[in-house]
Amino acid sequence: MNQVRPPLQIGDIARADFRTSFVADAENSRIQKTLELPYRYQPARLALSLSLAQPTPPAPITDSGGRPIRGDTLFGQDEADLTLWVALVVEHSGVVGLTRREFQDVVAAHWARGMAALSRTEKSSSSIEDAFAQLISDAPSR
Amino acid sequence: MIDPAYHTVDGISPFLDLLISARSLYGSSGNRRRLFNRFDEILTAPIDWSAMTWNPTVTRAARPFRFRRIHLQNWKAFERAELDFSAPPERPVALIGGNNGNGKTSILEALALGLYGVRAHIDRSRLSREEGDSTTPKRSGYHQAIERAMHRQAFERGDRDMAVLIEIDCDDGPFEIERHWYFGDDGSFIEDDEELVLRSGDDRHILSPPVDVPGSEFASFEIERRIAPVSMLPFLLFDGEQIRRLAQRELGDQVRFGLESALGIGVIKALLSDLSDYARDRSKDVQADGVEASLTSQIATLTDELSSTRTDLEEVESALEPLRRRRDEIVRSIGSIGDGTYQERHAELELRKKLEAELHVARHDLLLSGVRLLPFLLIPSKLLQGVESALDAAARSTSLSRGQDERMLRELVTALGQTKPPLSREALADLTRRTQEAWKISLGTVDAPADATLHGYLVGHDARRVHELLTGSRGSARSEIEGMLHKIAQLTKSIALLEEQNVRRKRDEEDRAGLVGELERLGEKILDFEGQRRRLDQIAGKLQAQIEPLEMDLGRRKGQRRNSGYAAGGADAAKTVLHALKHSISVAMPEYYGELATALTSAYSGLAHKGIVQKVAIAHDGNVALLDALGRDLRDTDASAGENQIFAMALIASITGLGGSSLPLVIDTPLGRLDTEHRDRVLDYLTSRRSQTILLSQPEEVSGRYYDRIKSRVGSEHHLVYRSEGGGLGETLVEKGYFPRRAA
Repeated sequence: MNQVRPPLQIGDIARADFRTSFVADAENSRIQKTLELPYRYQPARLALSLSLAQPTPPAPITDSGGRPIRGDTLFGQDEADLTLWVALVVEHSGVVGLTRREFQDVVAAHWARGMAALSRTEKSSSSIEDAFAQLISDAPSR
Repeated sequence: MIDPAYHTVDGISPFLDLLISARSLYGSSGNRRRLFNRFDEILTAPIDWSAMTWNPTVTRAARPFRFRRIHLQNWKAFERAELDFSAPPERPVALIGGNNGNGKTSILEALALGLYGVRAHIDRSRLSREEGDSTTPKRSGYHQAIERAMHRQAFERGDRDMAVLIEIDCDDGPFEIERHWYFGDDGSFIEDDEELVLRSGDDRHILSPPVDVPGSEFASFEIERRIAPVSMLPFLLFDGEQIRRLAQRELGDQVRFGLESALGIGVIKALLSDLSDYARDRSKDVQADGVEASLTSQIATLTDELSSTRTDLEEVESALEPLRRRRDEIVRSIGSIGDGTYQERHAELELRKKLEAELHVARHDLLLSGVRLLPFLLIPSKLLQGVESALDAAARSTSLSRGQDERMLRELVTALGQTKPPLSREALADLTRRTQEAWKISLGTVDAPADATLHGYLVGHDARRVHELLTGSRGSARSEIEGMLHKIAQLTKSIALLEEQNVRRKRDEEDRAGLVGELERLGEKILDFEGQRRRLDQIAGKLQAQIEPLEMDLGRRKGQRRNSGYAAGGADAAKTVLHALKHSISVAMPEYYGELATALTSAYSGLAHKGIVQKVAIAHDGNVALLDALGRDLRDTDASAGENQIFAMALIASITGLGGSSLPLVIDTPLGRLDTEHRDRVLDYLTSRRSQTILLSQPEEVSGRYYDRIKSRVGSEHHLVYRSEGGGLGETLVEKGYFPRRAA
């Protein structure tokens, strides 16, 4: 077992590819299309938010059949944006010395779990504002 | 004092009496205008004329009486004469003998005219009139007869007064009728110059008419009441000629004539005849050459049409009314439907497009913002706060590099060793230790080794910017998102309103199209009905215009008729009375046939020498059958003239005996045409009657064995003696006793 645990670097994350399960990725595409969103990262970020809203850690995904997306695309070109997402994921995981590899897996799991939740909400909503209103009202107040 | 009998006319309707008295007052004059005017007055009384009946059982039925005495003054051949018939009851026969021309008939006429005056003259011709002589007796004829009756020599001597006084014994005592006729110097009988005095009772009290009752009417009434209706005259005073005339008639006719006379139906019949004329006359007036009737019928027809037109009009109006109401409703609702001009609709469409575009943008913005901000809304505060403090720490720790820290601390510690005077080694060591601790505390690196490890990647990055991003986003996320949601809601609402408006307009347009269609159909219907109404209005107007002048004309005519005194209802009332009285007569007559048949059977079997007639039968229609023992009608086989005369005689006897009473008979030359056997029988029969029989006979007629046959029944005897006075004109004297020659 490799004893060396290379520390998480923002630069690595920006360059790294992220992918979720095939199913979650397909749903990501569907919702992107339905909501007429221009970018793939947009449904993905919503999914991540929804998953991060849950205190429990997401179940690891069993496949990584989804198409890849670069870290600086998924989390933002701006370093502050990217850093914030990383901070959120790391803080939620609570794991000290998280490696890049582990970080990628956690994001994949969050993406998949969040996408499922987003899919449910999207399906039960008549419009984007309805969905948003629902999301907001469902969200914990603090 | 009014004689009560005058008013309670034995139960006959007083109105019938009024009519009869009107006839007796005015009926005998040639001009019937006054009679008809009187009928007008009577018949306009508001009574049910159809209830009028005539009941012969209570008519002025004859009552038994006897002639007691007759005084004649300047009457025909008699300058002054008196015939006294008073005799005991068992001797009821009075014999008056006289040769032809000696005045027997004058005595008969004196009785008739003395009793009934002009009415006798009128009624006496009834028998001959009904045979076909249509000339109606006139007052003028009466005048001539009266003028001729004036005793010539007395007139020439200066007498201007002729009189007949008849004394009668009635049921209720003596009754006298004294009638005077006065003449002018030229011998003319002056109109109404006839004086009639009635006396009754032992003291010969003069009867005067009640107030308001004309004297002549009163007198007629009294005479008929006490003696007999004038119609009975042919059966009271008659001669062979009258018997012959009666005998010439068919037996049924004889019976009807006799019964009518006895019951006074003659009066009623004459009344009926007058009423019939009156009705015709007044109908003529009413109809006024048919113009009035025609007007009435025209008006009725037009009025019917008018009312039916008005009914149609009302129907049309009532059909029109709801249609118009509906039309107004439609017009109002079409007006109230948004007019939605093209510009407005275009602007609306533009607005909607704009709103939809805005909504699209807003939604997109919401998505983008959502994607950016949702994490701050969705992620629990605890997690965010953790990240926030880590970032805060990182930001502070990263303000200086670690190398710089240590170098600065080293320089600080070095500087502490160079103090002057120099510190002791212990003091310097303590100060150095304390400085290092304080440094470390101030840099915060002492108690945050875990976080520093967890978020180690932050080292070398600008954590302060990330921290600012987080806090900034956290603070504004909710309001920003909610603002966008609100905006979207507003847009959605506006669009929904526009959509609603659009939907409504579409519905309105559909409604409007429907209403316009209905309006068109309504318009057609209304037009149709209005056409009908106009047409009906015109018809009604035309009818009204036709009716008005007709009504004015009719009103004018009616007014004229009222002014001219014609009684429109009179004719109808007269017709009603006619009908009612005819019916009464037709019902009443047969009731007497039985009694009359019995009396006739008895009289006939007493008079006829052939004993084969067993029974005289009168059928319901008044036809007579002479039945033999076997019930066969002998009239089918033979009826000789003699037998007819016998029948007439029997009828006369029966009629005067009708109702149980028996009236006197005054017979002129009763046996003239009879064969010997019949003479015996007739004489026997006449003289066997209980009532008075006055026989005016020729010397040879009742003489010899005939005289002997009746002698025991004779109560008075007179004979007429003519005495010539030189110049040819003589006078007749009445002497007591029958024929002296025979007596001698």
